[in-house]
Amino acid sequence: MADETQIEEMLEYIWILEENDGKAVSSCIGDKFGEDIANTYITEMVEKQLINLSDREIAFTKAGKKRAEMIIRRHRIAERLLNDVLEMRGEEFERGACQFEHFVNEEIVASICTLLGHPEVCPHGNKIPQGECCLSAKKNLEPVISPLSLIKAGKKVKVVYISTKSHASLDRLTGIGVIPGLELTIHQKFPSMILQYGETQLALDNDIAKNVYVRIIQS
Amino acid sequence: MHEVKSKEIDPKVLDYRIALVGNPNVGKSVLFGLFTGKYVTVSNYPGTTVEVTRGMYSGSNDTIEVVDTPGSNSLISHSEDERVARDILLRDEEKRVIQIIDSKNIHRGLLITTQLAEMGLPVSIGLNMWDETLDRGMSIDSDKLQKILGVTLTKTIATQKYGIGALRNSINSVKIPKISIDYGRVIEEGIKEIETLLPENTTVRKRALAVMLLSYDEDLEETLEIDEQTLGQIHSIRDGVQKEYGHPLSYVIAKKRSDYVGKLLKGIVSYREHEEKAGAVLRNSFFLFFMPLFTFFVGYKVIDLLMFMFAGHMDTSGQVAWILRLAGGCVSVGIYSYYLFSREYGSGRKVTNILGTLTMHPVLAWPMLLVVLWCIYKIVGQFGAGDCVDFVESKIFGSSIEKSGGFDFKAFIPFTNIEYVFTHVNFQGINYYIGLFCQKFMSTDNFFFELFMGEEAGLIQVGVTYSIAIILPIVGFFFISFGLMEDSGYLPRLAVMLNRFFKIIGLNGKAVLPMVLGLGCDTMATMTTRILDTKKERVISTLLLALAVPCSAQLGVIAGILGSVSGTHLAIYFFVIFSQMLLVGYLSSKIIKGSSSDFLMEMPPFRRPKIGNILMKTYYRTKWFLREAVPLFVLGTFILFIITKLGILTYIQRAAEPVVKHFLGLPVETTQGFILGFLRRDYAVVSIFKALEKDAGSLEIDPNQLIVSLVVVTLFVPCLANFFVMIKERGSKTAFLMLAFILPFSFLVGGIVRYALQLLSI
Ligand SMILES: [Zn+2]
Ligand SMILES: [Zn+2]
Ligand SMILES: [Zn+2]
Repeated sequence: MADETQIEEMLEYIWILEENDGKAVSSCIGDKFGEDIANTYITEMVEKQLINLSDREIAFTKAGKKRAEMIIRRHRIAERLLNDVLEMRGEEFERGACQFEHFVNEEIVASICTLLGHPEVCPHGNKIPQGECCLSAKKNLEPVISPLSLIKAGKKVKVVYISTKSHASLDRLTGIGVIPGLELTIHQKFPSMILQYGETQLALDNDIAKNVYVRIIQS
Repeated sequence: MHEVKSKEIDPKVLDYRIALVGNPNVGKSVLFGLFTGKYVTVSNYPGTTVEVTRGMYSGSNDTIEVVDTPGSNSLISHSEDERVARDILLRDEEKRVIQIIDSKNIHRGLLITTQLAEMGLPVSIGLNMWDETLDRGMSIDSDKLQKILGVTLTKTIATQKYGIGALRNSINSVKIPKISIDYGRVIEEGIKEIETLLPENTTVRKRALAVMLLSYDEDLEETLEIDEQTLGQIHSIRDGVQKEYGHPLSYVIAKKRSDYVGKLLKGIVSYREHEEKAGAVLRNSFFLFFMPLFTFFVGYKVIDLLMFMFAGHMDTSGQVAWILRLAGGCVSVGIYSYYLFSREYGSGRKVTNILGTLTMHPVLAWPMLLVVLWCIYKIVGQFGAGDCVDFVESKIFGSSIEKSGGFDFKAFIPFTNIEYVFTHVNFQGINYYIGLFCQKFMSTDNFFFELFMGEEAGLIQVGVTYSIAIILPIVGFFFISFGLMEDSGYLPRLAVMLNRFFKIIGLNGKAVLPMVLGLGCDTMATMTTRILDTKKERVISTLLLALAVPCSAQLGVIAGILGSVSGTHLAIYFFVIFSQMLLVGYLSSKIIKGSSSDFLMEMPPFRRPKIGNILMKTYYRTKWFLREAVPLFVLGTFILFIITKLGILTYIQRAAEPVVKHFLGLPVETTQGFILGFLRRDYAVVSIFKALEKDAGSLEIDPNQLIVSLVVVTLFVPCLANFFVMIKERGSKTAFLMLAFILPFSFLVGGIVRYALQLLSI
């Protein structure tokens, strides 16, 4: 079982390398896990047909990609849970997410995902791969939590979290009081979106509204 | 009031300084005006484009200077404005702070108070706009809050001068607010570590600086002049703290602050269940009289403008046309009334709130917008730029050689043709008298007479007269309409309406301010592009102002001339100009490097504007404009004088001949108009019109020729004064690049329009 955990950690790391740099090179794996361990496991993963190795560049096989996607999804869903609901921070948060991904099964992940409203990004702003639950939710009914930009005018919503990709507009939002927990009404959406909260009316771009995730509390 | 462009006052002479601090739009500038009497200086904060107003505190035995800091939502800098506000507070001097809070947005105001407390600055707080707070059924237990904070709170209504005396007195009892926020163990440790790295004698408490540094305030690192090595240590401390959090530290800190203020305000702010209903008389007259009347006019005018466009194809003064107009008015009353009675009549909302919603309505706001623009055009373009300019130019200033003939002081009786002449004023024009005086010493063909009083490019006859006689009425009337839009809250609503359009051309709704100002005067508008957030946006808006926004001096004359062509031609003209603005804006937003900012703007409530405040603002702005622009206009005239004297004008004219004659299909004489237009845009239109008239002889002017030349003139390089401002604001490299683009481009588009009109056989 220990082997499997190690393999999962490596698949996860390869995914992140691909996500950030567009490709994964085996030497990077060596840097992170140590040359010997890396070599052993890369060989093992090639044998298990999870990855292909050509000229030191690692590429997922179909099966490998699927497995990695699942782990990443678990990890990031866990991050959302720990961050938003349990409000864990720092080391506790990082360790928690990493342990979490290795023991929960897909069913539990799906129910947590639904509970959180099928989030699309993790607290670091990285994309969470979608699961079955997310896809069917999109087809059938409105997600519980969705970006502000997708919500119709006239609804009352509560801010759940704000994606933190760009510091500048995030700071501007907090400066005028838009923070998680705030209840606001969408006054109108055209020609520009107008939010109403307290005595403030705020006009904002869709580009900003896309990053504010809310839960509808009253239609 | 006097204005002195003095150097900064020596701090040793001062007893202390007062810094006015507050969020944007809290009425700071009005209070500033009430605190200071004479001797106000407006100057750029060193090294920035942000203007800072200073003045002496009036009515005190001490020598106190008041500094109005730019409105900011945080003292951690995200914009140049916020940086300037913060840097003023960091300066090494004895200072006291008066913080102005919009009391209906007290939560946001107190966020700044927490930062002032952290800095250890003595503060007194003015809770401004107290009337609006009461109107909204909000109540603030200010006594309790005063006890908690330990500083004086004064309720004020700046626009009515209520509470000003008390706020003034409170400057003698400023205290450091009793606020201390616990940011949590990890951040607190980070703060302590950074504090030890900071230099010994900081002007404010080190804790505040440490918090700012943890919040990624890179401007502060610059301001504090921290050395590389220490900076490295600070960054590694910050990164260490950051590791413990899932969100950026700036956000975590802001959230803690916000939570703190939220807790503080529990039990202090409360709301009544319902808004107070407005008086029944006012309310009913709004629904039953004012709005039907206004919306009738809206519908009527929209049909009228539409018909003007098709004037070539139908009789606009016939019976059918009148019935159509009246029908338009009635339909409009029907639609608006249906909306108002079904949605708002029973809601009990205040009339100004209803108007505030209506002016942003996805559908209903557009016709109103059209009519507002039309009214501004009438006031500024026709009355200001037409009648008033004519009068001031020909009667007040006149010519240095000819008598103006004086004018009548008369009154019209409305709706009749009767006018009553009180008296004839036998005043021949300022320039005439100056010319007469000069002729005592020299003949009219003396070099110096021509330099100052010459008809073609005399510094006084043309330069000063132009900048004052032509610009003053236009700018004055424009600032009045602008002030009305600003104070009523219509301007930000315009930004909401037009944001999507501005997005296409790489700007956002905020750019509505310089663009609308451009319709008044492009020179002035170019100066205000500073308010845009990024460099890219400033460059694009400067370019578009120079290229495609006709100023009111031009609009007035264009409208006069276009009166002689059909509405179809007018529509073509506007279509061409507008499409070029879109095209160039879109392309430059793709080509120019850098980032655009997102639109995020707080909507102030719709209010009834106070005429006194608007006139005051108009006075200050006009004065500012004259000070900035008159020298530029005089300089421009001087350059033209040299060009004419050296005969360069004829040379350019000859060089441009092939393009003008063969490509644009215009008579050669129009070239002079294009060149002169560089000095004064309206002059170009007039001289081109005259050239075309001469060319046509007894026949009517070919409207296609007119459209082609108007398109070229509008797109053509803006006036010289505008070009100088472009250099001043954007640097000479960018300005000359724009010039190099606009010159051939305007001729190219003119040529294309010519051939397109021929092809379509219009
Ligand atoms: Zn992991
Ligand atoms: Zn993450
Ligand atoms: Zn899901």
